[in-house]
Amino acid sequence: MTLLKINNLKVYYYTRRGIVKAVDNVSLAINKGEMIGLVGESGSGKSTLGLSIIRVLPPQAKIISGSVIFNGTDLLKLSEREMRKIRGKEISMVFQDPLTSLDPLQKIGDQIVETILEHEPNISKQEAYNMAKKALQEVGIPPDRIGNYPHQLSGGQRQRVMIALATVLKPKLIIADEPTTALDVIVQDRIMELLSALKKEYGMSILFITHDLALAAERSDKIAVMYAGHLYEYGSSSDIVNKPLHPYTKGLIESIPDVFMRKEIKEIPGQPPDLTKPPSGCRFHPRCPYRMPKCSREEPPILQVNGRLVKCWLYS
Amino acid sequence: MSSLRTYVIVRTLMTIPIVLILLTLVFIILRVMPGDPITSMVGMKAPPEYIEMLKEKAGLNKPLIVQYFDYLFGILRGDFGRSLIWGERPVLYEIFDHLPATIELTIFGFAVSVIIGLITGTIAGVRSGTKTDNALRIYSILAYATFIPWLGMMFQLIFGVYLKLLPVSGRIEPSLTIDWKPITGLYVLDGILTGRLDITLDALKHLILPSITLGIVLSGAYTRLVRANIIEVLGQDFVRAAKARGLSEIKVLKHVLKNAFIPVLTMMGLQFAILLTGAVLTETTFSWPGMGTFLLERIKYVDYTTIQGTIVFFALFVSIVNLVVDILYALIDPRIRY
Amino acid sequence: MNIVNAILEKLKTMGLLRNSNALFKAGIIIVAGIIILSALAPLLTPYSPIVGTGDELAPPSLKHPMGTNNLGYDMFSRVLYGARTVLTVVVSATLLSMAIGVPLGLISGYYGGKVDRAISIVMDSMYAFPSLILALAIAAVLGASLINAIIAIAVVYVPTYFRMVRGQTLSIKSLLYVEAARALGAPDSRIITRYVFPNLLPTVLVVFSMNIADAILTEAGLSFLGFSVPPPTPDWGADLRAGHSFMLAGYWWLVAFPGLMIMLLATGFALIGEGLSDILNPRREAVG
Repeated sequence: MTLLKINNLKVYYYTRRGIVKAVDNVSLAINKGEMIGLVGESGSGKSTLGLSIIRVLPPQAKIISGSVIFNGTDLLKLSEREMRKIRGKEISMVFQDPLTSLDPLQKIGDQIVETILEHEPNISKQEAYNMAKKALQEVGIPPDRIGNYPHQLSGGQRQRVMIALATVLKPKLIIADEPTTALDVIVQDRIMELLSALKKEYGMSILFITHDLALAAERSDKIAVMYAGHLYEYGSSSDIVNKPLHPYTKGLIESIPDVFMRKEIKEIPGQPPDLTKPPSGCRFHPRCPYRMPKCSREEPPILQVNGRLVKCWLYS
Repeated sequence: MSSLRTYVIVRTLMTIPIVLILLTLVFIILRVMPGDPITSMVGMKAPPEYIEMLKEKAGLNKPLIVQYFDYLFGILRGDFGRSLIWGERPVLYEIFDHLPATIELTIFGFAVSVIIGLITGTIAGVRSGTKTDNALRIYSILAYATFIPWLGMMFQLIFGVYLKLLPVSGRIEPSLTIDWKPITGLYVLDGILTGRLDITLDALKHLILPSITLGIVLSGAYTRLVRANIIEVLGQDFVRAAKARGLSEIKVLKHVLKNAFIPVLTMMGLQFAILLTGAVLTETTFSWPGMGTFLLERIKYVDYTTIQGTIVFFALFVSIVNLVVDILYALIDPRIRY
Repeated sequence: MNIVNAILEKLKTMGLLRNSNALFKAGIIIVAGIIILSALAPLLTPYSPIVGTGDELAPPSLKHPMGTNNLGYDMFSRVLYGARTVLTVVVSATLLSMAIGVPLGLISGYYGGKVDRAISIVMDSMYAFPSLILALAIAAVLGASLINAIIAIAVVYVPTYFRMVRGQTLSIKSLLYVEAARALGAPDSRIITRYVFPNLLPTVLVVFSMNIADAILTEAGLSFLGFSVPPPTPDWGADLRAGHSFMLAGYWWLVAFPGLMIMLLATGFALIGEGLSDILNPRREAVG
């Protein structure tokens, strides 16, 4: 059952250097109870896509066209007030740096209570506090720390608080933008464990945005690969990891270091393009080992191959 | 919170070396005088015995080290010296005579500057990059660059000389104070306390031009400060995260302001020194009978001990205010602890 | 020479000429304008600023564009020549201040230790003290003259430069490539001249301009209180002092123009400082 459908979304940034086409005509579907790994390099547009869903983009960004259908409503057409009802309650977001994402002057308990009361004004303060305590417990933080300030917690604990904040009202979708990038690998694993557990317990969908394909593949049901503002491949994790179709995906997989050093690490040559002047045709063609003359002239369409979506001339 | 207590104790102890150094500096500066202060004061024609006697009184005949420690211990006992001119009146008493006037002026001036600074700074910060912001930035630069006496004089010209609406000098209409004794020295307050609202009103009338002059010029610095802090805080992630939780604009703004105003508060505390500088210039322009006018008068008469005592008082005053501000800051921001 | 090359490199990367923005340009125009007009004073006015013209308290007219004061001095002339006085005092004082404060801050920040702590606490104490009152005390003690005014103002601003340079030195010291150079055995003198000093340049320039603006106001304050250059030397602050009582009687031109000039010159330098600061620390780009 489709929970969220993004159709032909275009999001551009207006900067002094020019117009950055960060997300250029991207379509994506998220089903109920699914974890989707949205993978891409820095500048691929993956974060922008995430921010666009709940419309918390910085002022220089504009959503040009497209639709984001959630529960039958197009989120892009809602007023700011209606959007606020959705944020934090139906769809919530977890950000990359938990230290700067929490108000340093407010106790963590108060921040959770504030969110609860904003969306459910009829709940008593006492009840809200109990909910907050429970939420902290669920993410593995002893409830007696409810009176702590963010700087009194470790990095991993702060991220858990962010997750508590994001899940306390049991949203249907969590957008996690690089939630583990600022943490060390052991903590990373625990946080991923926590997210999977929450997903299973409450049937939440998770859009997991990351640059780490291996991390995404570990726990996601599906993987979406973005590059230079376009979506290039989308399918189930196992399919994509075992049999990547798009040359970029192949390159990504080949560049993952293997613990047992069974193969050479091959990196993708070249650099991501300047999005104020993206390459013509397929945006990946300058770095693609399989490029054909057609690739530099025409943008490839999105094709269906074996239950997967691929944007590449190789498969037409 | 024991960590707060620790901070207060340590910070207070830190004030001691700072004060000592300031006092020593004042001592050094005033002793650097070429020639001797007593002769400058009474003139070359005075009989040498008279000069000797005054020197003796001022303790200038003792060796420098002895003078230094006399001076330090005197201050510890609250003895700031005695005036060489006005019949040996203790300097401290004279300071307290003139201090309330300066305090009243600085309170009102500070209030004006804070109000202007907070409002314009917040608007400029929230609307950063727009024409409003640029206009307000230019305002803040112009305000900061304004020479206080000049602004005061322009106000005197317009409201005093041309429009004849407001008084241009002094604190109060002398006729109102016949048979009236102030309690705290703050006339606005004293009028209320003694049931003489006419005094309060007249004091306020006299306060308008000086406070606004002082307030406008000081607000220049505050506008820039508030603006910079608001911009910085707005760019921080927790603002976006708060928005992403569905908090209303007002709630988000509340978080932003709380975070932005804290560094502003400390800065304002440190700006107390600038407040005093401005007060001195304002007092001179409006013939306001406060510490500034007092100090200048004594410098003119070369009343050496009073000058020394007054500057020492300034040094102590500023140090204590900074201490209080730092402690207040620690009270508000939970991150500041030793 | 190595220092010169390093400085030129730094100036180039600062992109000062390429990226000048409006504030900076406006400031430069104002300041340059005042300097040029002041230099051309003999060509612009036939009157001397310290010789009576016989017309006392004359309002602004074609003959005396800014009027004359109670001693018959032409105000336009006093304004133009006054700029020379103000600029001389202020620039000399600031340079003197830098000459003491910058090296002290460098040494204190670079070598640290007890010396650093001792000097720092003295500087912090001075920094917290009201600048005008400190300058007043020094000028009162030394006597009113051009040199003494310069000294008084210079002393007041030493802590400003000291603190700024020390802070910058501390952070530059811990930059990776500086640490690398030290690990490779570069001598301290080389580190300071080739790495620390050029990196200080951007901030020093910004503080320098803002500081001159501040010093202009302090000098005006000193002369307004009667402790700067002795009369009849043309000086804007002194003109306000002398003209105050006349202004209250309606002769506004005795104080309006000199005071305006103080504001203009200070604004000019402040704009340069703001503009420089914008260029060197670009803020986030906002949509118009």
